[in-house]
Amino acid sequence: MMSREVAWRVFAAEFNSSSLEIKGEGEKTPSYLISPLGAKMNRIFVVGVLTDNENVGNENEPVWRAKITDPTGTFYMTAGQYQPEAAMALAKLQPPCFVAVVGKFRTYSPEEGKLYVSIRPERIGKVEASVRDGWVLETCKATMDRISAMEEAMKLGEPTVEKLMQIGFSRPLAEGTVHGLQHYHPEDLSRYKGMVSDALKFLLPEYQTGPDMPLDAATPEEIEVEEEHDEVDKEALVLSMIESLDSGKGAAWDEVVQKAKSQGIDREELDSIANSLLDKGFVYEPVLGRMRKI
Amino acid sequence: MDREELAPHADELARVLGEKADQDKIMEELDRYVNLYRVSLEWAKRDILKKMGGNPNSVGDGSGRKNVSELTGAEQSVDLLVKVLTVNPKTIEVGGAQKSIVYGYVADESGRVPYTVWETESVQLKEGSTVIIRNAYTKEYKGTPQLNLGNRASVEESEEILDVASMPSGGSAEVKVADLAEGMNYVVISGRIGKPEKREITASGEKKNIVTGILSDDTGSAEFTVWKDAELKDGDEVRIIGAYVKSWRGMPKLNLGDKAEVQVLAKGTLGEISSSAPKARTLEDVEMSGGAMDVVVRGTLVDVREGSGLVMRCPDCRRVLQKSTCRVHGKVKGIDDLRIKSILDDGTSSMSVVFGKELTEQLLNISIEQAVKITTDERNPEAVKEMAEEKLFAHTLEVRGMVRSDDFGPMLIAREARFLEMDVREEGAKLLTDMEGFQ
Repeated sequence: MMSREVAWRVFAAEFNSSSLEIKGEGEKTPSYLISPLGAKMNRIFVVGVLTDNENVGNENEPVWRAKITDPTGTFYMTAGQYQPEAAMALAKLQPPCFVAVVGKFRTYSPEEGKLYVSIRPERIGKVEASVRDGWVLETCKATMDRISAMEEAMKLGEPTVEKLMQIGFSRPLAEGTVHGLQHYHPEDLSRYKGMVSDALKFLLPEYQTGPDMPLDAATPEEIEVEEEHDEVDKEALVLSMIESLDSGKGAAWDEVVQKAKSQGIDREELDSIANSLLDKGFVYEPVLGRMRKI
Repeated sequence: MDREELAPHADELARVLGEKADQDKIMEELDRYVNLYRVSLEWAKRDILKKMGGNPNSVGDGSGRKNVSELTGAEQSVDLLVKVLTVNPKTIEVGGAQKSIVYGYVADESGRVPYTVWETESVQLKEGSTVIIRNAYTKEYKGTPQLNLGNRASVEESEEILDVASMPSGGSAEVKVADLAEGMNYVVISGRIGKPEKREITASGEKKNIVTGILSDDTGSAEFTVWKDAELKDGDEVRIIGAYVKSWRGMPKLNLGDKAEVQVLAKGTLGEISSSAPKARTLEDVEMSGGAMDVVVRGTLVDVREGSGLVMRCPDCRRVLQKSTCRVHGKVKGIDDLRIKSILDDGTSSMSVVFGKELTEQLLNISIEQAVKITTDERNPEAVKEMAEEKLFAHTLEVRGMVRSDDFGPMLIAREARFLEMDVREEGAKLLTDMEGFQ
């Protein structure tokens, strides 16, 4: 009996940084992609915003290429004739929308030492925002588990799968961690901790601390409330501008800048509002220089 | 071999000899034996030990000696110094022929491991003895190593006596129902008795009373059989000592043989083991035990499989019809039924999950009559399956039911199911607060 490969929960930033592939020998042994945090992936499960969806094949032999963003980056995905169900599902989807994908990794190495990764979907489905939020939380937890396994491994003199399993990590994670440590030689995992905390703040916008919080104001509480209000109002304003300037392909950024200026929002402020909207997942950039409401 | 290569072996000898050791002398001897007289390293070490008053059996060739806890399940040849905890003879059938084997547990200070002796002629083990096992091999079974003594293995009594607690007394800690797995011996477990039933069976021509029932704790339930007469009442809280586990279709079952003991505890000793659902377990954990009578798991539904949706069943045998034909009863008038065959994945493992008619109706929020109507109206036999894909794919479910294993792996047959709504904000805030600790 061959058991089905488990679906790993990984963020795009971790997935895309993977550069170690362990190829299975022979027909029946699966291949694995090892992430910098030691995820030993054959199959993954992701939920995000489908932002782009294009048939790069033709009518008779469609090949769908799609992008899915999560709070940390973008997953790239291709479905062709060997993924008929996924290709058919993609053909019906109109970006932007929330989608869930179960698929296998695939790699492309244009030259020695370079490895590009993408997803070959097995199943795609449109989902609600709550499913995306649940996935972000679950993936935060899974990522933290991998970070702690990697930290334990870095503490051990000669980390082995057995030692990590004795500490209490599962065999696949212990194996992935040992492979990952050998290949990536991580020294500092703070980048990944930062990624998790950013993803959590994406779920909890009120935890986001802006750069210019009034620190020594006389009555901080009142001012904070006011500022907050102000921010939210301006975000709503910019969001409606983007929507109104959108004629189907997204609002041209230059036009948004012009319009904002006429409403008394200067360029610097607009940049920070736009970033906040992007972070919160209200808008996305279909192409550079254009913004679109999700 | 130069002195650097010999050094670890000299150290090993010094350790064995303890105070009797003179490091320089050992090195000199070792060098003489190996380099001057060309004696093999293993024999050199044994001879030196003997000469200096140590036990020659306490060293191996330096490569194959391991502690029990160091076993990985991939050793092709390994030596161990262990105490034999249990010895159980058994007859099995290999390629149509009867073969005697012996199985049980051996242990050292670092842990215990199940073993099997495949050549009972050449290898004999005595319960309670301390032995040196040479040239055994290991295999992995369900994530734990198993020791095998094949035709290359040899066993000799050791003069050194290992003081490892024997298993039935303090040796084995109490386990929970969820920990039960095929092949476990000397199990100590507490729980509540359910549905005890006396039965008379005929074993080797003799009539015998046995008792069967269900034992439950806060992690789940398992069937048990007491292979002798016993007075057990429904709701009794008991502590069982010395049971063994055999699985049927992956579901672990407790067996109480001659040596097993049942202590009836005072009511309320075990606290609240209500009839409510057991604690949720990870799929990896459930897969390891191979099966369970009553289990709760949480996971994401990652696939709706072929054969899901509206199906027709044979009125005689309930087999699913293909083109109105039963493969036993031929062309029949089928009965409508609903089911969903799916895959649940919680990030630790994945498992097939089957939902029957009632649960399918509940999860999809339709009745079977509506399902039939939709299928007919849309002229699409897959209509209900597509509906299941749309409503269930990527959603998190909590499922309670029974898990059993066959050639296709473990399968969960659902009894209860519900969509799990995570409180993302609360859990996220908690995780974020926890994280600040190390940022």
